[in-house]
Amino acid sequence: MTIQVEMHDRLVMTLQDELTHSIVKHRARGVLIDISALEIVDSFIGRALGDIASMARILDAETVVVGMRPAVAITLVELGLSLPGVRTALNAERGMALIRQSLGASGRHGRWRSFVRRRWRSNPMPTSSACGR
Amino acid sequence: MTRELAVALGFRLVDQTKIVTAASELARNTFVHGGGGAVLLEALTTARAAGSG
Repeated sequence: MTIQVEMHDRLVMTLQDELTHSIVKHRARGVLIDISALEIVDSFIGRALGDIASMARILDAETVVVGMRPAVAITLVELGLSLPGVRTALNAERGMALIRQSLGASGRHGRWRSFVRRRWRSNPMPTSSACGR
Repeated sequence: MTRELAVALGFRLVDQTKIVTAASELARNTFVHGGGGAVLLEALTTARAAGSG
């Protein structure tokens, strides 16, 4: 159990590290995090998602978290975590639309020169995508 | 392990999720602040219902 928790947390750190590097490398304007594979989101993961959104914002990229399971949403709210500062969408398609919309609103019309997608096989981890400008 | 027990006890999905999340929070605190520990999972039953309390 201890090892699982440690591994789990380390994977979150890896996600933050690789994602911020990807944003800079691909000059990404949008980050889409798909958490549909996550059976639970505890306070640590919730905080990590907020941190990722903040890091991305500082690097001038918009983050949208998509695919949250209904039971996860209920549990998060009852834990007192409403993911402040994290934009969410029902699925990847709507999340991408949201990112495109906000880029369009800021005067940039979505020219996606690069698209990066990562998948963490280790359970339970989110997949993430970085979309280049 | 926790989810398997919750499922076996007949908890619905939302309650399973809450139980597993609570176990995750406890395990993390035990590890981070207590330096580790043991996990004991025990099913409690009342006269009226199993898996509801």
